[in-house]
Amino acid sequence: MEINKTITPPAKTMARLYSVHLGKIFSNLSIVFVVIGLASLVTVIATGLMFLFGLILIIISLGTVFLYIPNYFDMLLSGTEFMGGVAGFLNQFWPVFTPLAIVLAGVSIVLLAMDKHERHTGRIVLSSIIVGIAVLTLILLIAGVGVN
Amino acid sequence: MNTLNLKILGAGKINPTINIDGKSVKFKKNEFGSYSTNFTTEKEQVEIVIYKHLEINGKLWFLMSILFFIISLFGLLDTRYDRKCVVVDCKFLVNLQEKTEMTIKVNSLTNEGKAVECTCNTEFQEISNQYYVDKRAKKRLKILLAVKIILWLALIGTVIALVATRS
Repeated sequence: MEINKTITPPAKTMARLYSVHLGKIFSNLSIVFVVIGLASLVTVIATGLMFLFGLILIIISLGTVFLYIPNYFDMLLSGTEFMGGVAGFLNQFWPVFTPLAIVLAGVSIVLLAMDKHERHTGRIVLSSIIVGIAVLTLILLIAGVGVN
Repeated sequence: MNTLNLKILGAGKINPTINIDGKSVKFKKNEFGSYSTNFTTEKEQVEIVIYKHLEINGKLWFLMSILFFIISLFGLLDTRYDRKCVVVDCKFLVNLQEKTEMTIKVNSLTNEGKAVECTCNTEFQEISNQYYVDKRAKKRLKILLAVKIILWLALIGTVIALVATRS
């Protein structure tokens, strides 16, 4: 049944609905920002791992890989160079995005926890995990793990 | 002093706002989506209102929706509005005794019939008890969708213009 009757919610209800909505958006944004922060950390580790696996392949194949792919070593070096470029690009952004992820996840926890009407346990747990990951990422990046 | 022991079964699926005598009451909630409370009052009669408010019905609906749309990176990280725009509108007047037991069972969404089924050990009067689709909310959602499409087109146009002027 479709009716034209509309009851405007009280200001208190609207404030609650808006704060929950904002809390969910902040939670989503913090996920994206922490992924960007993590990416700069992961690409550096991935570059090192890629080079390491490339060397292991030479040892395992007892050098026969050069018979099949003569320019194997050049390819390996150019691959790591490219990955290093990506890591360098991402390293420009982590000082902004990782602290922002912590702030947004923290604000989303506060906004969602303030809702007395409905429980948002899943979201609050997710945002808490994001805060944990972001803090750990920040510590590792400051310690120089992800910096070229 | 009269006590109203109110149980609302299946309230979790509609998540309504429940007021007793105009006051927001704290409910105990269990994992099956049922609410229960003990309300004590000196009055002989209380008014129970069960209503589901829609965010889109707020006074600042357009401003807030656009603000959320921009913050959430043009809606990419936004949560969805309830597209069905279904509203629950129930109001009861309940005569109280020293101990009044009332159970309200929330029905599944239907176009006809009652939104809730009530049982009470005292007399009660049903003022309203219905599910309905809020036409105005639906219209507002359509307006929002149109505005969001226009904003997306404007963004794409700006990006294309920027790229074209640089190259």
